[in-house]
Amino acid sequence: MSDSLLTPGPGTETESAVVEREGMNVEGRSFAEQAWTRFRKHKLAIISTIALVLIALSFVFGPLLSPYTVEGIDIANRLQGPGAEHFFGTDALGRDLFVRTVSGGRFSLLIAIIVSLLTTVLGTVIGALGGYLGGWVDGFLSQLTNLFLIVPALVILIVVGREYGGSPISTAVLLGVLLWPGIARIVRGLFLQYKNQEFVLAARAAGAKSPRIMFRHILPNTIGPIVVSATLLIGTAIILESTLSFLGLGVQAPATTLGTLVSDAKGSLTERPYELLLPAGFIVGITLAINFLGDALRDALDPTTGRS
Amino acid sequence: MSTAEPVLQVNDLSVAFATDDGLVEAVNGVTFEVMPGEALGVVGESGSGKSVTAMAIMGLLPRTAKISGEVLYHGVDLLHLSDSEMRKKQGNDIAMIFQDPMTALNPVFTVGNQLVEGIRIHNKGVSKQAARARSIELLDLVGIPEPTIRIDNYPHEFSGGMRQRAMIAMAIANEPEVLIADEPTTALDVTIQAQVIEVMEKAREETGAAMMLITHDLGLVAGVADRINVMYGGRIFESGDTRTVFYESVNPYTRGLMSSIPSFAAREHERLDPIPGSPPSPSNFPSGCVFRPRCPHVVDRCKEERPELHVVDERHRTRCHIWEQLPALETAEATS
Repeated sequence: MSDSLLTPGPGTETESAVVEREGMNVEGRSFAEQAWTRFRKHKLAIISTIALVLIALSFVFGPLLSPYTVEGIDIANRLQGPGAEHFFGTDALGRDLFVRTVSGGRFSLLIAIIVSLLTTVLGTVIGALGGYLGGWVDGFLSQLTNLFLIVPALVILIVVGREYGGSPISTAVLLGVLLWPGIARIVRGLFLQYKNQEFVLAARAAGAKSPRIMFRHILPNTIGPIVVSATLLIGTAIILESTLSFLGLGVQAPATTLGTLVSDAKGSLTERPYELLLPAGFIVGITLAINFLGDALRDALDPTTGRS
Repeated sequence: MSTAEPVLQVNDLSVAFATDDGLVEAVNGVTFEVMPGEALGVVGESGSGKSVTAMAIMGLLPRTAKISGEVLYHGVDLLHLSDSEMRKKQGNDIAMIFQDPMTALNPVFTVGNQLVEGIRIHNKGVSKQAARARSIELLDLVGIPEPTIRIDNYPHEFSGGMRQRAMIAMAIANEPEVLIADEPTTALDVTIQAQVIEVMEKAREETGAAMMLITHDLGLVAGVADRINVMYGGRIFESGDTRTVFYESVNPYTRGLMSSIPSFAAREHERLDPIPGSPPSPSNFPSGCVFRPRCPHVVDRCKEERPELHVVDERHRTRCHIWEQLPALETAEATS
């Protein structure tokens, strides 16, 4: 009775015929191609990305191109204004502020990226476990998440930072431990939403194990919002690290970050405003660019925002 | 056929869920069997317990569900298997085709990816290339044009009918002995439904699988099923060979269902005869027969006593106190 399966009788149009007639794209485009098409529409994000790449490159290679070093003291040339010799001028000890700013930026960015990675991994795993497993596991993890959300971050940072802060790594870990609840909540919500989708049931019906379903079937569906949060977290981390270092509880001298530079310059705002404004400008610029980038990624990585 | 051992035997299966309104009995004492290679239709309205029965067999019910009875696959009780033993059966010995092909495929993986995964979960030794070759074969079998190209498409690049074909390909990938299809055509266009049913029939011929076809579409079971279970309120109300249930039904619910199907043979201006009322909520079943509030032939006994499943003949069962009088009653009504 099913002889006619592959050759439908006259009058019945096959689906492939419909596809061809309506000129649908049979080749199809991968998710990445579609995401790029959507991303390209955000002009501000393109500019932000270029700016971020340039800033990152200057942070990485800037110190190598300058004859000065971070700690090189030159009392004879102290308190110089910005100029051809010292792009950003020199501080009270005659140290070159351009080198100090870019290498400080390097640490700031590095700390921010570590914080973002740590937070994302921690938050994703906790959110995924709670959302997927439910029950008492979810209850426990949700309460833990709420606990971390309600404690005032700055107070904890000040108390614990005094004890364990100081190095860039310890500052990064400290920030990571405080920032994961945001991402955990997002991921938990996504897993709650996806675990009842039929494709998860279908995967279970095909005999897939829970870890496989969580990390191979559901996680790729949630990657968009996670990447967006991770990106925005870099901005948050830069600001928090600067705040902490400004208060003297983050990275300690001789290590330099954008935050410590702002802190060093706080006494000389009226006489030499550039000492403060240049590193502060980097903080604002990076954070702003990352937020534009995050918004564009949110659009680009959301598969439900049209298929044009 | 009747001499063979059944592949699947469901004995006195009950499923209840604890809710805020108390214990809800979704399935109550369901017993049936599926013979090798046969097609069993399970028919009923929404909430009749047909899908829950399927989920119980597949081991897909949440842990909070209270399940009792037996689900024997070749004599092995699936309800008491460990999770890992059950996973070996899922998708391998018993496979399921889901209702909505739009959501049953993972949107972020290609169709081929999902087929290959399904094969390799149960056959660790099979190489990716071999699994891919087999996947292309399967897509060809279910009538996907240009399977070598289509295998690398994402689900959203498939039409609804093609996705359901892909789902069928996945379900038969490991040549299961039992195929459970839960409303496989409900979400599809009418024109595509017939094609998908043909593909399912072909897939069944290829693999020799028995099928449990769950649907509320009586026309569909009439064409496909060898036997039918009619379910209502979590219970089997009538079971028998398809012809018997369609033409010699001795159950008021089944008869009500039959007279509510539109047909070309019906005379002009003849109105359909729907069953009045709506199915009872499983949290609040009426006393006595659960169909009583909607039944046209209620007698006093129906209020007090839940009817048993009566044996009509060797292959025909009905759940009604007055099944013997039914044909006479209805003839009398028709003439008056």
